[in-house]
Amino acid sequence: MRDSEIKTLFAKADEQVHVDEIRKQKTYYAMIEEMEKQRTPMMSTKNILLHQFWYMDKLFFAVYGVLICLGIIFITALQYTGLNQNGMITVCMVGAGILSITSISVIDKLFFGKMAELGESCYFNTKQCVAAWLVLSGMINVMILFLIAGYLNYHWRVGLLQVGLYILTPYLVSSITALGILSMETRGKNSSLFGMSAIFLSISYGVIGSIPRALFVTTLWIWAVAFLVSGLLFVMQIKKLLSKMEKGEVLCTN
Amino acid sequence: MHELKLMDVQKKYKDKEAVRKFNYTFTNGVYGLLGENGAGKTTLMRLICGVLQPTGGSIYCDNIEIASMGAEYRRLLGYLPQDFGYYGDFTAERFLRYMAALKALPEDYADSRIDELLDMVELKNVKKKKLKTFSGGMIRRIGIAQALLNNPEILILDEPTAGLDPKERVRFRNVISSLGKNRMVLLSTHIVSDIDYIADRILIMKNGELIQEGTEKEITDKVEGCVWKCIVSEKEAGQITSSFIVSNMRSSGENVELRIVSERQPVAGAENVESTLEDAYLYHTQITGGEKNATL
Repeated sequence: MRDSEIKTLFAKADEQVHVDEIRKQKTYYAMIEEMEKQRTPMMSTKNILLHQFWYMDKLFFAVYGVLICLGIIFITALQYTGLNQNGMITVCMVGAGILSITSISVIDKLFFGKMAELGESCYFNTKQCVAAWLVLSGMINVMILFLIAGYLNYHWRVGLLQVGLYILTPYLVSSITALGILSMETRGKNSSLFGMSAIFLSISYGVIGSIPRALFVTTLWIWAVAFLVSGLLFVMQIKKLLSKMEKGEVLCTN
Repeated sequence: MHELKLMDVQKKYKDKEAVRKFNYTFTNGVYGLLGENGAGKTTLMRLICGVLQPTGGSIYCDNIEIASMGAEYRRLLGYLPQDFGYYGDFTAERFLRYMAALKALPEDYADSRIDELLDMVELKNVKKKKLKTFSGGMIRRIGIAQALLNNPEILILDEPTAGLDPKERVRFRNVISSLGKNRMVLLSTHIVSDIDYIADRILIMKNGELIQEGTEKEITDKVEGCVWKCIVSEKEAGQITSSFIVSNMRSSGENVELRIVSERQPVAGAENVESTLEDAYLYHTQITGGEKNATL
């Protein structure tokens, strides 16, 4: 007997069997449920994040928090030293840059290094941890920068758009630099690289702030162009980092 | 039971091809991956874990490409990297809790599992101690515990016995043997005796390629008639070691007893003896040249 004939015989025999579609579906779902019960239980993403935050090393968060507090105290204290408007804007530019580099260096300390490879094999992997921290720290940083912008606008009478460009542009430039360091495939030297870039960029912002007319309304278009370019580069740098993490070399330390 | 299929898997770094056209299908059981340092074992394990992306070929789990499975695939995994990182200031218990969070394990499940595993790796009495105070062997044991936290169906262990003392190694072997009954366990080592007893199948890698695969018997049978034993003077021993693969050397008075792996009789009077996995490993990794650096 040929295969096709056997198949026909089976098909004919099956026609005699009445299949109750509702019971079939119920059995299917019961089977899926039973299989799921046998698997290791899982938490929701919200709980994963909460548990992770609860057990993770919070030293670097503390450093980040202390730095923010010190920055606020420093800026508040500066207004009693007779600093002029340009001086205050320059200090805020430097502060925005340091804030950005610090928050990205926290990622390096927490998720990169030797834990990165192990973390990447977990359900909530290193890439997701980094993305979560980038979003969280980005939100905190932007909130702080808005507060600074509001303060400069209210106390020093600088236009909101103007001050936004003055502090967001250095923030983005510093972020691009820090993300570049994070994307490098050499680990272990990053702390000093973050520190050196923070110093170098702070000096650069100081120099820019001291250029006559650099912070005038007439030069605002240059700031707008710089902001747009750095915004674009920032997005590209994030994509580059995530793509490098996807490939994996950046996560493996040896 | 899961099936992990590697099809023409390749990994190239800038100037080096770490894994070349690797084809293999893993199912349940213990697989031992043997190879010299730099043979590509670690890269292969990273590829299987999804930590590295292959530059060529694909890896399928139950006929679905692992890259597209994402978290669903990682849910099945337990991985112990060769050089596994940890936060030194964490206690053993906190480290496992942190890992349990990354593995998305609910608190009550993680609690019981952590207790069970700390007991298994005999670290229960030091669970409140910081990891930076742990010895190399203890760190390895905590690493093994974290790999087993989610009761993985695919367990990948890269050099799991490095730093373990003989007693710990024996205990570890027993644990792996029992785990391999209902899951896939892949463990790499360059220490032949680690997998001699426990691996259902042995894979030997050299220069990024799979050069031999089979059960211990299948592999040792291939070198039957190529292992020799002889007693020679110290002077002769020196000459023989420079031109033949010597898998063992033992002084007996003024003479030296040698165990030699060679296709031809190395010296007159040398006797053919039964081959072991160590001999087979040396034969396959060194007969065509290369360094004689296997740890026996």
